[in-house]
Amino acid sequence: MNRVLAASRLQLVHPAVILGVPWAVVASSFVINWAVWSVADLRHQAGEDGFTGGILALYVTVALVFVQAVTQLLPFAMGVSLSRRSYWMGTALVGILSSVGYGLVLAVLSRIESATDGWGVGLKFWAPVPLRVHNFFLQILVSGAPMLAFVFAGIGIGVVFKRWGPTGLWTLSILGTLLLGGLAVLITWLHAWRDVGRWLADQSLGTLAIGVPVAIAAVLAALSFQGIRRVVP
Amino acid sequence: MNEDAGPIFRQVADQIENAIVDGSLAEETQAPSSNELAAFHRINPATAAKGLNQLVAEGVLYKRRGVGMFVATGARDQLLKRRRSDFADQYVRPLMTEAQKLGISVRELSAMIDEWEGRR
Amino acid sequence: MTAVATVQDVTMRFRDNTALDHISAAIEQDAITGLLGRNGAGKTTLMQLLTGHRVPTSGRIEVFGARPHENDAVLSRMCFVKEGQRYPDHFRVRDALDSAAMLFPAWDAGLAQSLLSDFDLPPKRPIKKLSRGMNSAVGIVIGLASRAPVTLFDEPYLGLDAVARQLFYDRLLADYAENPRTVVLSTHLIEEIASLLEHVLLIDRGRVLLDADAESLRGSALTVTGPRDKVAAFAGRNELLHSESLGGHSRAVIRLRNGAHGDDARAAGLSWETTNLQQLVVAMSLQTAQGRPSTSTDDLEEVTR
Repeated sequence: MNRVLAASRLQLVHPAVILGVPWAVVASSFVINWAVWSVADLRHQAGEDGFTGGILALYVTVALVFVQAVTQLLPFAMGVSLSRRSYWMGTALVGILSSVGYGLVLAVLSRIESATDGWGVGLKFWAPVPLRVHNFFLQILVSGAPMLAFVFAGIGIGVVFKRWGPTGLWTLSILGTLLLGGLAVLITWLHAWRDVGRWLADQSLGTLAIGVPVAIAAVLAALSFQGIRRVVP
Repeated sequence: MNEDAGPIFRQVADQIENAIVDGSLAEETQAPSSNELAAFHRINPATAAKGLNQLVAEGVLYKRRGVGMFVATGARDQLLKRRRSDFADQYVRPLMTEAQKLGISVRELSAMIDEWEGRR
Repeated sequence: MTAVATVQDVTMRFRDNTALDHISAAIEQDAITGLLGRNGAGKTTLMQLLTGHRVPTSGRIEVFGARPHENDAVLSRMCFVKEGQRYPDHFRVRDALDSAAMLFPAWDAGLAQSLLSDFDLPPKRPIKKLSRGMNSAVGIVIGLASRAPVTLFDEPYLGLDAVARQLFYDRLLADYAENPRTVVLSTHLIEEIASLLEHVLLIDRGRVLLDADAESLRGSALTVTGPRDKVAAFAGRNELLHSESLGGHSRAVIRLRNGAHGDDARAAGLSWETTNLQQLVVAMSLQTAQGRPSTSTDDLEEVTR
């Protein structure tokens, strides 16, 4: 356990960098969005949904942080005699706690957003409408669970890159595209789009916004844990 | 330490012997420790220890429990005696061999020695 | 000899080459072992296997009686200082040391501090801004201050000038003398460290050429010079490793057999000197390169002046 905690602490050597960058990125995205909303008076154009995907920047940046946790920090960790397994667990621990933390902050920000009527311009940035819920604690989960998926996606991509290099990443993207594309073809062929749509609509927000990301995170976690065992620093 | 001049531990031992012979390391004083020798000569401590142990085996040094290695009484005389007996083998033999190669007779050799003595 | 690590019939195959070919060796506990060999001989691969950074294609590696791969109990007692170790972009020198302090149970902060000043390393400087030599110095500081019972240095002096290298050897020796540990040091610069070594492991093209005590190796070979036929005769009675000829004279590196030594060479009419470790290693590596004792007799024409 000691080694795992030490591995966690490795992640936090420069919290300013690890936390600062994602927030800096999303803050600039927010400022731009706010400016656009305000100047173009989009409140009256976009209607009820002041929807912007700008918050995605936060998730993607955090994923990148965790990619680097594998591509940059893991080689160093192994250089100070950490096993890959312990390192993974320490990183996963930080990832889980981060997700909860981010969920909390996002929940708070979205409450403020509601209270200030969209920052005075009807902007709904911090919790996009589809992911906006009334219950505060549920909001934490709804905002935080996708973060968990992005965290482990970042770790997974890092592992693929370390083991198979850029070729591996290309292969992964191609496979991913083929998979999704193939799925789309299949559904089209089965004329099942309406059924899929109905099924999705039937699922509760909880299932979609929490269950699915957590499931994805779990799968990615298992895959990356297995994959990391043979990474050469 | 000269990699070419024979086993390193022997060189270490020789240097200590030289110090005893020329008086800079007196009898019943403490010899340098193996760690000190290792650091000084930039060699492995085990090698330095081997040199010291060699001297203990020859009776030149002795071990004082918990303190270290000391120069044995009579070590200087012992070393001088040994070197005298080695002298013939180490110096006289090559001298004679080389002289023979060059065709220098024993009488000429003797004259050369007297000349050198005169110069001193 | 107590072995702290064993390599049992280990082969490491990569896609396009075999880095290690059925090698077996043992690393002596609390001794300084030199891991010698040419570039690409397999030294780094062997160290990677010993530290669990790679897994052998076949065979068994054990350190402290267990496989090192993904084994925290073993790994926490080892330190692997690689050449060209990279550090996370945002790390400063002190971040690297603080991290190491968290992970090495026997870490000596005082030693780390004094080594930092010995090597003139500014603690607050980002590592990526350090010169190559200073980068190497960071690794050396970590390796020495770790006090890990098994510490491996893989050509750790990349970019270090001769003065800094000497500093490294001196500090290594000093700490090793006071606090013995198992040290494995791989290097090209054989003569620089020859006197530090207790044990020599020479790898060439994935095979073990030499696995012997340094002291016995030192006396084991002579470089003789003299008339060609006399050299050949003497070589015939022993083991010829390498020879070169010019005019009627040869110079040969000869591994002694049957208790022979310098006096026999002299008696055979040859002049001789002890072959130092580097010369011995080179001669042996050249020998395997040619599959037989290497001679330059055929190649070297008489030099016409």
